[in-house]
Amino acid sequence: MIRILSHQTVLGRLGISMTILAVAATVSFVSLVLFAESSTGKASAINVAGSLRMQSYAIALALADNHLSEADRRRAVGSAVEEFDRRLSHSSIASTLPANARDPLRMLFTRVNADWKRSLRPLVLAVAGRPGASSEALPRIRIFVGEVDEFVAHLDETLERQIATLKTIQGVSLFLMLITIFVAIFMLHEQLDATLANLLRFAREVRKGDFSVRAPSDGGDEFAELSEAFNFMAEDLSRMYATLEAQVAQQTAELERSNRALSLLYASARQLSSGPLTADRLEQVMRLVEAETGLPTQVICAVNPHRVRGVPIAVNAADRQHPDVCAADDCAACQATEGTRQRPDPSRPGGEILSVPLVDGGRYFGTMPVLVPPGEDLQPWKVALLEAVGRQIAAALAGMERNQQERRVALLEERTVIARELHDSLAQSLSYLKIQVARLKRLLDGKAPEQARGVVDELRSGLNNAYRQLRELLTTFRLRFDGKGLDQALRDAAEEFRSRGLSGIEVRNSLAGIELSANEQLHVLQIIREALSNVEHHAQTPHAWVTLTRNAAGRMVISIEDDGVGVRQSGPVHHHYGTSIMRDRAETLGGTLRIAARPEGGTCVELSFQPKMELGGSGDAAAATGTAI
Amino acid sequence: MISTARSTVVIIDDHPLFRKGVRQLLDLEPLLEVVAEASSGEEGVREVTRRRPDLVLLDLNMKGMGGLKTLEAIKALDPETRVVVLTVSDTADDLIGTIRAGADGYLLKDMEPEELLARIKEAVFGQTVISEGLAGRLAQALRAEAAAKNRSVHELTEREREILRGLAEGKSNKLIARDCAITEGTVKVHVKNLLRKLSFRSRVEAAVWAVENRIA
Repeated sequence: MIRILSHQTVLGRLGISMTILAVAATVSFVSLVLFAESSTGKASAINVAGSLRMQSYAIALALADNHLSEADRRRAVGSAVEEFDRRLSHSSIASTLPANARDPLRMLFTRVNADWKRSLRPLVLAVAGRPGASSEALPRIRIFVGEVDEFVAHLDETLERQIATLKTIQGVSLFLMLITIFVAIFMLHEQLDATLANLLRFAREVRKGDFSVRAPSDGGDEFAELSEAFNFMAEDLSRMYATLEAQVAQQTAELERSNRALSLLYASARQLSSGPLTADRLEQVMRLVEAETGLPTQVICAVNPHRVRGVPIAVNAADRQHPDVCAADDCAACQATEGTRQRPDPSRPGGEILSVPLVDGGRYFGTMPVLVPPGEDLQPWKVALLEAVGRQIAAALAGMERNQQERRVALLEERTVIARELHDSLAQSLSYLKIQVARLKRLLDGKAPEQARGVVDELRSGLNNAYRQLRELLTTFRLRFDGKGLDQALRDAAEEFRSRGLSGIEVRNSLAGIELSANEQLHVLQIIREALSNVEHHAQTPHAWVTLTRNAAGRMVISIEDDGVGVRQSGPVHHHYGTSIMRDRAETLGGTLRIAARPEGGTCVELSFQPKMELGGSGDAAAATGTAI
Repeated sequence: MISTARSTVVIIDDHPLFRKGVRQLLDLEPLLEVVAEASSGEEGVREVTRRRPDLVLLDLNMKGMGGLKTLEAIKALDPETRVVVLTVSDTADDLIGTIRAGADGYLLKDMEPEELLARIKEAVFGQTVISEGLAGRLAQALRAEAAAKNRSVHELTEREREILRGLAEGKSNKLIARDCAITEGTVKVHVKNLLRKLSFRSRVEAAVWAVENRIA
């Protein structure tokens, strides 16, 4: 049974146990009920059968009573026989008797009944009226009583046998139930405890990351299934875990790669933007590219308008061990398209040349050919990275071009200013002088020497005036930043004026130097110089204060103050040509120039204007100071 | 105004030194009298309004109201006022711009003073005066325009052609009227018509074009 149970599921086993218990209990109960029922009849049957014996004796007594009259005796016997008949046919006996005719009990009863009805009853009734009947009938009655005894004894025996059977049934049932309960408990304990402990341990192992453990899954019960499910889960987990690890490894590699790419782009961007673009910087970028990608990069080539020959603008001198990329290929193939192009390297079997385009804003500037050694697996990220570097270089080239353009514009503006100044000063003076010469000639022709002398004086003062203008113009035109910032230029100017007698010049510059474009810086510097020149010539004081600030509204406020003789005493400032030049410049800057007397004495020239740049940028500064390739 | 009277001149120039020189130069010529000097366009227009001079000498490069604006303002005031531009600028833009605006002459400040004086005298008498060398430049500009506009002298009547020849010789309306024996008013009408037909904006343009195309 245990073997059968052990192949069953736990529920099956429980079911079997329950069934066994139920059957045993039913059997026990039914047998009890059956016995109770049959034993009730049998007890009364034993009583009745016992009373037959007693009645037989009653008949014998009645027969033997000599004190009675014959008639009375007959009556007494008759009633005793009647009683006997009644008792013999009592239902309890009939119901106790088995239906089977061959049953010993039935046969015994049949014999008693037959003996009574056929021999003893007629005999007793026959002898009742006769004296001494008892002696006649008594031996017979004794025999009959023996028969009845046998019947009763047999009846008794039957009952006892039944009780014994009942005991056996009850005992077996009880035993069976106990065994079943015990076995069930034992098996549940054994199986559940061990399996659950196993699964628990297994779950703990898995939690620790050990996917190699397997729960025992033999046997066909639910726990086997559960264990199997757990095993599958562990397998799946371990597979997923492995995949995940591979993914993490791959992503880490990718991350590292993009990190490197970023650092290359950062480094190259720094190279390209930290100053004016030079061949040296481009060379540094090529070295960075070569170091990061492992691809030999030798040259950066600008394209000429006809796209026939490239113009190498930077060569990587450090790269000597590789064959010359330009020797390997002709320019036209290199510059054939504006996109990235990979083609076989004619000078090296198996090698390739990758033309990385330098494109910015849709404009093609040239190419950076990169050698791809034979057997090199050119991964897409490398190509993308090279293209990004190409765009950076192109952007730097575009920026350089823009700077040059800006410088040209600044130069043009400056030339316009120069032309204007020449027109306003020297040209007028020269025209005037020419007229004086014409007058002189006319006067000399007309023989008017006295008037002619006046004209000669005019000529002399006019020439002196022209010279002075020329000198000032030359100073102005020579004024260049030459790579210095506004602050340095201001300090130089202060030094220059100090040496000319304005010993008390103070410059207070609170600008960072990047707020103004190159052009604005030039105008500001010239206005300051002009104002200082006026102080030098007219104010009769060695003190001057130059202040440069930016007010809350973002306007530049530049003032040049002195504690000299003041505006009115120094003549009509508004007509002085230097003043008009200052006003001109202020107008060019889109600002205003105010010339006023200081309350504490002296003059204040104040320039205020809105700078074009909202924020300081390095572009214009580079334009003013930078040198190009 | 009596015919023997001196012609009046107003000088508009923002350079005091040059004004002084020009005044001294014009003082040498007894027929010319500088009646006013102005240092800006605004002041110049005021003086011209007040004095009604025979000739205005106008600088182009001035702060505030520029020479061209001043020229337009004066011509709007009275188209008959003769205005001669006197400037340093020899750029074609300035030249053509002012001629289109109706200037009666364009002289450079660096001309020989005697020459300048002679031209100013011519201008007073109604001639169109243009500095040596600039006429060619004006013609060039007009030629380029003519090519685009396909001008033809055949659109003009015989009388109009005659008057165009007069213009090309630098004659004033009065002179042309005398030569053709018609009234000055009729000459004006003819000039207006021929300018419209040839789509010129000023008589100087027409004159230069005529000389250039050998119509005169």
